[in-house]
Amino acid sequence: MTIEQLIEYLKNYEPFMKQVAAWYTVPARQAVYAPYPDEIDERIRNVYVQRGIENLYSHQRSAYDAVQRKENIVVVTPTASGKTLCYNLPVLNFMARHPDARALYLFPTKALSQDQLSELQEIMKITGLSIKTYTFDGDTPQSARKAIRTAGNIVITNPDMLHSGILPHHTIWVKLFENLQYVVVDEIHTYKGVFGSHFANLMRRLKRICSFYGSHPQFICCSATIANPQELAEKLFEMPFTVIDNNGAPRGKKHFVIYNPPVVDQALGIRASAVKEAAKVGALCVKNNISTIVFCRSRLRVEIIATYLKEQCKGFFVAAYRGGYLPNERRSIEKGLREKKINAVVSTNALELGIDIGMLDCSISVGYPGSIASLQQQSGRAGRRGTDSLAIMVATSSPLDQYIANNPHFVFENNPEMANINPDNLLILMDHIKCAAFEIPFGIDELFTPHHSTTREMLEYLAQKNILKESAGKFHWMSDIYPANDISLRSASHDNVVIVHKDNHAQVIGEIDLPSAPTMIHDDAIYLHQGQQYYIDKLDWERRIAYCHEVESDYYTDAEEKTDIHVLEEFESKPLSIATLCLGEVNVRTKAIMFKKIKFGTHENVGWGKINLPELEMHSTAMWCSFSDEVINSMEREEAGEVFLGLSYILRNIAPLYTLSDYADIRVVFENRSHFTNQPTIFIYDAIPGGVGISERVYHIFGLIAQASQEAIAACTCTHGCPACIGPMTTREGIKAKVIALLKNLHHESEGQTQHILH
Amino acid sequence: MNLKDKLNIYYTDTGKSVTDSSWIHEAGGKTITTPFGQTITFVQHYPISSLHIDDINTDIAAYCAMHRMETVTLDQCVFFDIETTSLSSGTGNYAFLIGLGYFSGNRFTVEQIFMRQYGEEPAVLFHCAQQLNKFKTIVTFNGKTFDIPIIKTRYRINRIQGFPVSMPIIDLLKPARSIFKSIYTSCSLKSLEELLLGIYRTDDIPGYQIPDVYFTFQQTGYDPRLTAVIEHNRIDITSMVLLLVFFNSLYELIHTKQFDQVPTHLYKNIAKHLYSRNIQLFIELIEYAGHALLDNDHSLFKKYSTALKRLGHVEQALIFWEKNINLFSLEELAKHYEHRVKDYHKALSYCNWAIAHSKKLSDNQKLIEHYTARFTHRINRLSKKIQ
Repeated sequence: MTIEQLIEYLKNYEPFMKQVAAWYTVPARQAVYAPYPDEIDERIRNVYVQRGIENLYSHQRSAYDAVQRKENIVVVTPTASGKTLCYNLPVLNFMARHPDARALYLFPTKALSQDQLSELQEIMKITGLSIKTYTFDGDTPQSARKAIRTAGNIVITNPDMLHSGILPHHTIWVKLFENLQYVVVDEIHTYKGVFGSHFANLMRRLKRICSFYGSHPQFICCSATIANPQELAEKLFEMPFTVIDNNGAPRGKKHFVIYNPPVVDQALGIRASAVKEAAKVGALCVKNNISTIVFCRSRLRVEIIATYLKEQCKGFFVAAYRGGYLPNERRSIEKGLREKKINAVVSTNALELGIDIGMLDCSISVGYPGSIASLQQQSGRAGRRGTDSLAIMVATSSPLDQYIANNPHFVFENNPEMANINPDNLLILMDHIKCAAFEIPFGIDELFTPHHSTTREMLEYLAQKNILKESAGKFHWMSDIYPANDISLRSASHDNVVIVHKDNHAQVIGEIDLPSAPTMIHDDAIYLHQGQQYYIDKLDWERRIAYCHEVESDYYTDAEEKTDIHVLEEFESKPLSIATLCLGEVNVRTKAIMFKKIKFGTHENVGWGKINLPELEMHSTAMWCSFSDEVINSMEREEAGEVFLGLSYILRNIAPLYTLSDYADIRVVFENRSHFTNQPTIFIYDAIPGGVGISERVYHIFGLIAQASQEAIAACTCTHGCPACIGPMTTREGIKAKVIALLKNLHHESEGQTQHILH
Repeated sequence: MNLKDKLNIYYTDTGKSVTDSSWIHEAGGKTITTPFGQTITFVQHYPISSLHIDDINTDIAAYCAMHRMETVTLDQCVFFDIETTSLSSGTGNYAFLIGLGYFSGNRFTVEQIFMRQYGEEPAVLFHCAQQLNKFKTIVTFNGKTFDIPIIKTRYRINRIQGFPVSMPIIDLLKPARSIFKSIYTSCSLKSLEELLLGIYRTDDIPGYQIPDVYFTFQQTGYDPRLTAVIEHNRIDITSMVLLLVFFNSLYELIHTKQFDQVPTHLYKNIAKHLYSRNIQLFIELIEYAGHALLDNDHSLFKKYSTALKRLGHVEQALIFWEKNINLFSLEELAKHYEHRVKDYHKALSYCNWAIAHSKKLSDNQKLIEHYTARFTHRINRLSKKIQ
C-alpha cells in the first residue's frame, strides 16, 4: 500500500474512525526558492549543486543575508527543512576566505555532533577546502586534543564539555578564542528550564572569555517551532536576535489524527491502554509496508511496543531506539532508516532531535509528548517530498491527553508553547559566577548579569565566605576546587542518591536527585527501573546510598508527604472577587510520612508503612491563589475540601501544558488555612530550588490555565470525577460542577491580563 | 529581603578577618619593586661545595647529548619550581611561590618570589621573567606537564610579556621515569632524593596541604606552616641540582662505555632509554651485558634486532637470530632469505619449521596465533614466487 492508499483505507475503516477525536489536514506547500548569493565560493556551491540543491530555499537565503549584515539569527523552521545549510553556508564561505577563522558548534548531544562532523568532513573531501573540523568531547583521545586546540577551524562540542573542559582551560585555547567568528547553536529550544538557565550563564562565560581575547563572535542558532524563539534566544545570549522563519521548504499534504482509545469503564473514566492501541495502529501500518516511527515517553514503553510490533509483523524489520543503547547500535539503526532497510522504529524522544534518519511515511506519538513543539517535531519525521504523510497521536487517560482529545484545536490552532528560562536563578547564577571567577578574575565593577548590584553583591558574598579574595580591584579564585566539576548543567541540585545492589555495591542500578529520594527510594519501597522492579532494603541517608535487590512484586508503593509552605516575600498580587493571586518567594518543607502498597491492575490498597527520613527544605518561587471567605462559606466543610483538592489536581495537570515544563518541574499544594494568607490557598511552585520561572508564568497566564482546566473537566464523560479530570478521590456528587464554577470565575477575571503576554 | 540576607539563608558559614603579615620580613623577605608594583623575594645562598660541585662552569654535556640539546654549563641553567593554589589544572590555579635556583659567583642561590596578595601577581611574573631570561635552559621536575603550562597560563591571564617561551626545558622526571620505572615504586622527587641521593627530609609539609596553607594566610595573614612551604620549595630546587648532576654522571659513564660502573639491574631500562637516543650505544650495552638480558623481554629482543638491521650489521643479526630461535627470530630469518637473499626455498623452510614447532617456541596462545597467521601468509606468497 502507498501512504495515500492507507489514508483512504483508514478513512473508511470504522473501528479506527470511531476512535478518531480529530482529523486535520494541512495542505501541501510548494517550495519557495532563492538564488545562491553571488559571492559564494564556487567549490562550496558545487557540493550543494551536486547534491541536487540547485537553488536555496527562501529561509536559507534570508539566513545567509542576515549573517552578512552581522546580525545574530535564530532559524525557526520545521524538521527536515534544510536548517544545517543555514549555518554551514555562511560559516564555510567565510572560512574559505579566512583560513585563520574559527567557529564553535554546540549541539545538545554527542550523537548530533557526530552527525554534523560527518556532514562537514564530506563537504571538505569534495571541495578540497582545508577547513579542519573536529569534535571535542569526552570521547576525544588525549593525543588528538592538542591538534584540535591549536588547529581546529570548526570545533564541534556540547555545552557540558564547553563548561567543564574548554572554558576553564581557555589559555590553551587561545587560537580558538582570539579568532572566534561564529558560534552555531542548534536545537536551542532544548535549552529551557534548568538546562536553559545554566546554558544562558555558560554563554555569559563564553562571551566574557571572548572579550578577554578581543573577539566578538556572531551567534547563529536554530530552533524547533516554539512560541517565543526570539525571546528565548535573546534571554539565552543577552543580545538582539533576528528571527528567520520564512520557510521555503516544500511539503506534501499532511494528515494529523488524534486517536482516543475506547472507554472501557464509563463511570470511572478508564480507557483502553494507549500503549496497546498504538501498537495495534502501528502494526496496521507496518504490515501494509508503510515506514513508521513510534514515539513513546518512557524507555519501558519503547521495549513493550517494539516487542509487540515484532511479534505482529513477522518478515518486517522493526527496531527499538533509546538511550542506553551503544553508539554503534544507534548508528546502524539510523543508517538502516536512511537506507529504508528498517520498516519501523520505536523510539523515545531521542529521535526527536535532528539526527538524520531520512523521512518516513507515518509517525505515531503515544501520549502527548509534553509540548506542542515536541509533537510537531515528532510528526515532522513523517513526510517525504511529493507524497502525503500521516501523523497520529494516541491519547492516554491523563487529564492532559484527554484535554487535547477533547480540544484538538489546542494543538492545531494554538501557537506552540513558550520556553522559559531564568538565568538569574540565584543558585544557578552562583554556580556560574564561581566558574567565571575561576576562569578570569572578576573586575570590581564587572557585570556578569546585566544587573550590576547582583554581580557585585554575589562577589562580595563569595569573598566573605573565603571562596574569592579581593585584591587590587579584582576578585580572585581562592580555592583548590575545580568548580565546573561539581556543577552539572542538567540539574539544579548537586546532591544525588546512588542506588546499588545490596550484594554487590559496585553494581549501580541508578541515581536519583535528593528531593525525590524520600518518596521514591525509602526503606521498603518498590523502585522501578528499566522495567525491572527493585525492593529497597535500606536507604542510607547520610551516605546518600540506597541498597536494593531485584524482586517480582504484584504491588507498587506510593508515598505521601506532608508539605509546609512559608511565604518569605510577596512580589506582587492581583485581587479578584473570589480570590487573590500572588507571586513570591517561599520556603517549602517536605517530609515523607508513610507509603501505601498498591496492587497492580486492581489498584487496591494492600498495606502501608511508615517512612522515617529527615525533613527537606527548599527555597523557590511560587504563585498562590487564596480564596475569600464567601467562597468557603458557600460550601460545607468536607465539600469545600474536595472542591479545592479537585481544583488543585486539574491545575497541576494543565499548567505544564502552558508553561512548556515537565510534569515534575512544578508542585501544587493545597493548604486549608495557610499561615501566611489565613485562607484556603493553592500554592503552585517550581520544584527546582530558586525557581526557573515556571510559577511566574503560571501567575501571568492564570486565566488561560483556568479556562483550559474548566474545559477539560466539562468535556470529561465521567460522573463524579476521574483521573482524567479532577482526580479519582472525590466521593460526592456535584464537585465537578463546583470546580467548574470556581474556574469560570477565575478565568473571566484574570483573562484581560493574560492576553498581551501570550501574543 | 535583600540579596545578601537571602544568600545567607542559602549558604551558612563564617569567615575570618585578615591581620598584618610582619612575619614575612622576620623570615627574611625583601620587598622588590617592578613597573607592576611591589612583591617579595626570599633569597638564600649555598656554598657550591654543599652541592658537591667544584666548578660552576662544568658543562652537562652528557645529559644534553642524550636529550639532543645544545650543551650548557651549570651556570647557564635556572632551576624552576612553583607552589600553587591547587593540585589540578585550569585557569583558576595560581602560582603563589616561584622558586628559582641559579649559580652566581661561587654560590648557589635560591630566590623565591612570593605573592603576598593576588594583586601582586603581575609584579611576581614580571620579576620572574626578568630572572629567567638571564639563563639558557630551564630545569624542572615534572615541569613539562605541571609547572610550565601553569606559569604560561598565568602570563596569559595577566597579559604580562617576557616568559622565555622558546628556552629549552629539561624535565628530570623523564629520565627518572625511564631509568627507574618498575625498579622503584615511586619516581616522585622525594622518593628519588631518598633512593638516589640519600637525602631524608624532616618536617616536610605534604604537597596536598600547601593550597590550604596559602588560603589560611590569605584569610588571617599568617599560617605557621608557611615557612615549611618555603623550605619545601627550596629543597625541591636544591634536589634538582643534585639530580641533574646525578643523571649527567650516569650518562657520562654510558657515553664513555664504563658499563662496569653502572648497576647491572639498570641495564634493561637504560638500554630501552638509549634505543631512541643513541642506537650505537644501545647495541654496545647489550653486547656488554650479554644476550641473556634479552631473555623473556620480547620488546627488547625486537629492538635489538631492529638496531642491528638499521646499522647494517646483517651478519651479526643472522648469527644472533640463529642462536636465539623464537617465533620472532624465525620470521626475521624468513624475511632475510625472502627479500635480501631471494632464496625462497630456504625462507619457506623457516616458515614451515616455525609453524610446526610453534607450541614449543612459546606458551602464549595469542602470540602463536598471531605468528601462525603471518607465517601462513608468507608461505602462500613464497609458494607463488617459487612457481
